[in-house]
Amino acid sequence: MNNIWLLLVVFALLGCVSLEGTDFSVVDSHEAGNRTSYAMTDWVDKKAIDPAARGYRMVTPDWFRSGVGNFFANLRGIDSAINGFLQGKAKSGATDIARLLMNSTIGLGGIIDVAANFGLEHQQEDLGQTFATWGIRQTRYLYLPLIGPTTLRDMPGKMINVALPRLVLGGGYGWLVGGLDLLSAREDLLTATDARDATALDPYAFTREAYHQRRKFLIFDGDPPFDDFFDESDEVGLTAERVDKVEIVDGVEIVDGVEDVDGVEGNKE
Amino acid sequence: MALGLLCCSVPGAPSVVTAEAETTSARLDSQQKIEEFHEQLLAVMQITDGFDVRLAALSPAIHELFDVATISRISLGRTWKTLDEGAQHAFIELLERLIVTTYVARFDDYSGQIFRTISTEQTRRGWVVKTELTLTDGDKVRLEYYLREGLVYNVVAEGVSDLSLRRADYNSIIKSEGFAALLTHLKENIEEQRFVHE
Repeated sequence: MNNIWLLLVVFALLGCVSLEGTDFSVVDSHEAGNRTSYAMTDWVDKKAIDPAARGYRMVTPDWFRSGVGNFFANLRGIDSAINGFLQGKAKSGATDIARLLMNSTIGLGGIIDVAANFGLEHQQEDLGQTFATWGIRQTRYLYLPLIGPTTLRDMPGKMINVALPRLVLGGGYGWLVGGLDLLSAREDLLTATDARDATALDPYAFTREAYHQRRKFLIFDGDPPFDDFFDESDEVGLTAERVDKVEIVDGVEIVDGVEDVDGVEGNKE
Repeated sequence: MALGLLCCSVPGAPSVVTAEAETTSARLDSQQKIEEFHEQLLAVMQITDGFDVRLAALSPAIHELFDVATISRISLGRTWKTLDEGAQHAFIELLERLIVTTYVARFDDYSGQIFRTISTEQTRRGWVVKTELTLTDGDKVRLEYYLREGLVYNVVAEGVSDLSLRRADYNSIIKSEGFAALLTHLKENIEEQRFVHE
């Protein structure tokens, strides 16, 4: 019963805070706080987690890391399966259930991704995508300390995703297993964060944009709406008439009632 | 022969056939350009004579394929209009150097990677060539090239647009530090990437 109340509160919160901007726009109205959180997380990462993940990559063979990654991905497959069904994608949910059954048994508790060899690929669904499918498409960006980028819409799903192995394994998810989960997840992200660190001039802005786009890609199952960079107003530039239409709301430029980021109207998530 | 009969018997048919032929030609042209670029990229990855040699080998391909002027204009947003022609030209040159340097730095080692074209589809502005890069460990990366008037203006990797990232990144710097600082950061970034990979 308590859980139902909690869910209702979450829905109410999501409804209250996500009614601004255009479809799939994400507003960073807490940018100052988010940047502080990013800086702190980045400091901890650079000092401890990143070096540990590199050490983990260096001292363990590929098959070991692959097995550990598969094991935790299998545990989190429950989340993906449930959300596949919640989004009305029976085939997606069934695929994740089949993966879970196959990998948990023949795949030695999820260590070997046997299902992938049978064409059953991980569907990558989560609660944030379910909320988006149900109509919550506008949301605020958050950077949580030590957790990373999210939005108000995606946060409950992210928390579930983080907590799921502990819920499934119970007392078996101690410091050692939890540490291995963290190392495996961070090691998996090394290539992406190395690419960011090599090219980003403002890593915070870069991460925020990459997160928004990746989420939209997942919400639309890899086929998001065409992002048109060449709307007519952009072709002619910012005219005097257009300047008059610009106003700032919560640190975001609104042109003619539409969120405008960097001169392109209607910049979307 | 069949085409000839169709053209003579159906009013307006020649223009339809011509339009279809042009569309097919444009689609094949876009796909061919990307496949040739991938071949050049794989060839450059196999050069072991140093960063500068690989840089020189890839530069012409980037220059011919990428619409750096459009990428520059969209990346800078409304700042673009505030620059005079000389400053715009200088920025285009700087960005092209950065794009080539980034490609050479990222694709710095050949170990059996494979590019595969999945499909070529029409968009509101031109074409998108959808491809897949298979890495040595079997992982696959989806790469989509968006073309307008035969030139690439956006590359999307696993749903993340290179052009959107540039726009967000550069405008954040312009907003906080100004355009001159952006130029300094870009030049430093080119040198850092060279230093790490030389």
